[in-house]
Amino acid sequence: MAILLVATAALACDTVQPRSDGALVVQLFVRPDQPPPALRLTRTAPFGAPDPGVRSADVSLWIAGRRVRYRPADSVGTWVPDTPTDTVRAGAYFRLEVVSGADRLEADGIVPPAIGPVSVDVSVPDHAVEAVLLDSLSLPLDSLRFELPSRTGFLYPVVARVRWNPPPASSIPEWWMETRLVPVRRFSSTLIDYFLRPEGVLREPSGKDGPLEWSGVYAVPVAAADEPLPPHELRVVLVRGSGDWAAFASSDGDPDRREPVSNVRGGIGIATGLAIDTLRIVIR
Amino acid sequence: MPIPGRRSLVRGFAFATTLVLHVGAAAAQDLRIDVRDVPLPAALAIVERQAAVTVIFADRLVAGRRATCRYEGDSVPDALACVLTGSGLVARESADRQYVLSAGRRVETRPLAGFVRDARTGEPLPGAHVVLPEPGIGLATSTAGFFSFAALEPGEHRVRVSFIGFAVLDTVLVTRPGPHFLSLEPRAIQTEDVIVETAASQRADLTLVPGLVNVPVSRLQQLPSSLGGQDLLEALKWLPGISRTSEVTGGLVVRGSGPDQNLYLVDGAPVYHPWHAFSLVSTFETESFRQIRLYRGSFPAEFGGRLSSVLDAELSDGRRTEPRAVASMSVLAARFLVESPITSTSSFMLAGRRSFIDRLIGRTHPVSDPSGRVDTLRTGYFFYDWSAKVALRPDKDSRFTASYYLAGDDLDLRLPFDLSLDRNSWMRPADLLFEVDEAWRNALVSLRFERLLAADWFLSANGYDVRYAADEGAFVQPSRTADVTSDYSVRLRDVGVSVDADHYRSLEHQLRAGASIVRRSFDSSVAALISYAPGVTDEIEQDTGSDAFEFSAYGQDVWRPEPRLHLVTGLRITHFSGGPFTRLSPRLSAQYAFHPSRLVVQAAVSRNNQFIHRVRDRHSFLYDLVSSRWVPSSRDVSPADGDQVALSVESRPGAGLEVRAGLYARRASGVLLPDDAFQDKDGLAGPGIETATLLSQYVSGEERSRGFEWETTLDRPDWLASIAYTWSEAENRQRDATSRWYRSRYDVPHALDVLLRRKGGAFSGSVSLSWRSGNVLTVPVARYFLEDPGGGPPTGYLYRPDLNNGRLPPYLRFDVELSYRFSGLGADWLVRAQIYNLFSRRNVVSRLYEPDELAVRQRDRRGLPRIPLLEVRMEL
Repeated sequence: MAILLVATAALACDTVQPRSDGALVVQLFVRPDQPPPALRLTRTAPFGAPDPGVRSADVSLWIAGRRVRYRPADSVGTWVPDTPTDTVRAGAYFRLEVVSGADRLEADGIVPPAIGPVSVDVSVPDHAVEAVLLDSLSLPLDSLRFELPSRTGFLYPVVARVRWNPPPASSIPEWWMETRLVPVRRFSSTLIDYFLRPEGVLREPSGKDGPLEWSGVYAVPVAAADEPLPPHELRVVLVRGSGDWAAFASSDGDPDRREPVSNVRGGIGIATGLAIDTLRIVIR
Repeated sequence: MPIPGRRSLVRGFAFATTLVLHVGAAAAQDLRIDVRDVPLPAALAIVERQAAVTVIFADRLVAGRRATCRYEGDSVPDALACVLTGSGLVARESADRQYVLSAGRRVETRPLAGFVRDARTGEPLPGAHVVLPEPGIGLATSTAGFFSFAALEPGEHRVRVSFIGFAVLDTVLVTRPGPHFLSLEPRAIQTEDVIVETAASQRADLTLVPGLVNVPVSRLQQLPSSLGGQDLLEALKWLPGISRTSEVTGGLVVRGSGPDQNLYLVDGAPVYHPWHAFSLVSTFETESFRQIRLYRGSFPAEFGGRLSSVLDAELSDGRRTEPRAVASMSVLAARFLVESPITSTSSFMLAGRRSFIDRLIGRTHPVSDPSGRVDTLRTGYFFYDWSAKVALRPDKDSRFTASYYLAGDDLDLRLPFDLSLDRNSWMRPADLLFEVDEAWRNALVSLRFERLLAADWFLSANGYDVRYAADEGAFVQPSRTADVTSDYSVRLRDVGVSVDADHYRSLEHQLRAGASIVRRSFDSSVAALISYAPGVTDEIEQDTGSDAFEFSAYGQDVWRPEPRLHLVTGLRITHFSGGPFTRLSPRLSAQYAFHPSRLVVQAAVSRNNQFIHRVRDRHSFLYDLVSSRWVPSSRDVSPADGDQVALSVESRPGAGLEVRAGLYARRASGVLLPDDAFQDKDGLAGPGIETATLLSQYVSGEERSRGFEWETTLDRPDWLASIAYTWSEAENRQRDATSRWYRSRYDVPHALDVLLRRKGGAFSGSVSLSWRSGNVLTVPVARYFLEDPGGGPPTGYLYRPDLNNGRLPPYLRFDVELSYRFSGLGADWLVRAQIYNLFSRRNVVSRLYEPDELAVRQRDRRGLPRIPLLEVRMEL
């Protein structure tokens, strides 16, 4: 019994009490052919607390050897350039430096070339197809409670074929393209999600002749097999960035389980160069 | 406790060497002997005390003799000659600081060697204790049951042989060139048989390294398995420092190291995946083995290739005396064992096991619907294992064995997605369905030849062919336009030969040396086609393969400078062609018996290397879902190197009472850790199975662990009580200058296992308790938001700055078991009822965090509830 008591005491001592460090969070996207952007500077916050913007810091952005100082804007957590500056050109190297109290945060990157013309072809089957919307293999976490729900229904798999021109050949490291299909009404199902492809992150071969292509798939559920495809709006988003952005974009899809890969030294978040293009299409 | 690095290890050896030299130098001190007509033994004792030497003699030589001597000087031989003046005896130096008395003529020695067998089965008894009460020398039998005292005075010698579970044998043997054959009669476990021994070397002869578990299988059979039946690896869980990675599944974790750092040997051949049913039960049936040795942490130079532990299991040869048959059925599987003599010089053992749930629910189910459509659903799953061994003894000096071992699982499913307990609702032809066809197999053939070349030379040669194969095939169709077909396979093959030789050079030195060469082949392939929608597909088709040779040689000396002290020094050298890499692995252990039964202290320091790594793809559900891959060291990935130090204390203060306590510290580098610890399988298409791709998901890292283990066993004729407690810490870090140590996923600071078993008689039973710290988990400590540059809403992320910064609630479980033995229908019967988790405590085994607007909710996954189990066993 004495052993049990000693072990109990030791066990209690072993329990870990996590603590919050209040880390700096930065978000900066430097885009080609635009002036230095505003950036977000906050800290991690306890659950339920409002986003604590940082208002006291020394924030500088060096672009192509020129320093751009930042000051807090009216909006909480937003910082803007202190003085108007010229637009940023593709291929420019930049470095961000933030000093807030004892915290020092750094990140750098290169501004990618703008995305050229983008075309999107959408194809939809003539009829809705039967699909498993809720499968009994998606067992609850407590696997011994045999709640075995299942439900089949109907959906339209919508295929969007996106084409764009590759980046021009240059000495810049490889670029990556994140492609996203964002329908107005999102559909998600544990099993079907594995067979949808609303997003992709692709390496772009530079200097390639002819357009690059990516095909994505999303689903629109309907009540019956003979129900027509509901008209809806689709937003197609293309984001070009460096390997840092690719690592971030490939890891930001499960916020409850994991944090995205950060390129910020001394903090968290993302500070990188991006080229963004967005198309809106109405599917009928 | 500091953990020694490479330089510290060298310093440790240098210190040990200095210590030995220093002790040797102490013999050259001044001696003053002044005795007059005293009993000769008393005079010899004075010389022993002053010169710090040991004088070995038979009582009959000195009985009744007296000594008169006056000597001053620094020569031990001269002092002994003075004391022995007129006795007709001479002293001969047999080892450093050790002298043997004999009659005053040229000393002639003869060997005394033999084999120890189980009288009931005729099988060799490894680990039996053979003692010469005069002059008090003992040793443990080898894996072949062999012993040899190399240099004894010709003539008769009293010999005592003991082994737990067997009656003590006292006999008189004559020195001769050929071997003797001694048989021990089995009896109920009564440790008094062992502890009555009075030889000072009793403990020191048996387990020469700390952490070694060397117990007969009959004792392991008394330890309950979590889910019933006979399970060798489950029985080992009752030892301190050993656990499973999950509640009732997963590999063995030995002293905080990963399961891939354990080497499982069956008759000298490695087994790569010793588990059935998704690691629910092991492939090792306790009853089909005759002996196991488990080295936790420190292992002799003859073993290598893993960092953490070695389980050396020997299949039963089969009875040489009379046939025996056993049949058993539990809720998991049915099994049988048959063993019998074939001729007077040969025997065999055949054992098999198969699960039968597929027989109960059926493997195939023809179904149809009112439209006349037909289909065949499949619900096949079973596991099986076969082990067979034939032993031949062409002459009294030779033994040849051929072993075969096959263990596998087979899963064959074709089912709709709307499964439920209402079988009639889904037993129909389905368009949306999934098929899974998976199989895993371990197969080995091992040939072993042992021969007694001379009374002091024993040779063993082993050859084996081991194959591990895993196939994972799937077809999944969740909608009319989407499906996936995949076929993934892993192959691993080891073909090796080894030779080991034992030379019993003198009473003080036992030498062992050996060499082995093994060719390892690694192959895998995947072919998958994912159809997301018409015209949108992903296709994966890859093949990988590599070969590597591993050559090892070792030498080891067991030195007993005096009866209470054993020093085991060994050196192992391994060359691995993958890099190539060459590694030296020194091993040193020491044991001192302050008292033959009450206090034995052991210490060991060793270096181990591991040339293969186990990895798995961390992205795709299509491959590496169940099986993992072994990857040889190469220019892309270095071997893992580990250092270990251990200290243990053993005591047998009373009848049947054993107390063991030990400390250990280990550190390893070159182990593979996930590059992104948060990456988990999350999709169908992954980066592929190329070795470089898999390795890119890992980084080279370090691990360290330390701990305290305590075990107390009280083994009485009618009952057994065992308490095992472990305190440990296990940490990892990625190998770069900035990374910090963090808790390993196998870190379990406190573990307590208590077993109380009533044995003997018709009724027997046990109650047991398992209690340990909860597993580590990563707890989010805050939250932050990032905006979407593409125009979407901000996303809130849970902030997890530190890996494994939290822990699940403690785990606690009580099990009970009740057995009834009886005879009937010409057989002996055993009915065993067991209740797993008696109080149905819903232990938390994993936890997820889900945030909402104001807080983060926990979602817990609970462990198994109360489960009744039943086993019926029959023996003819």
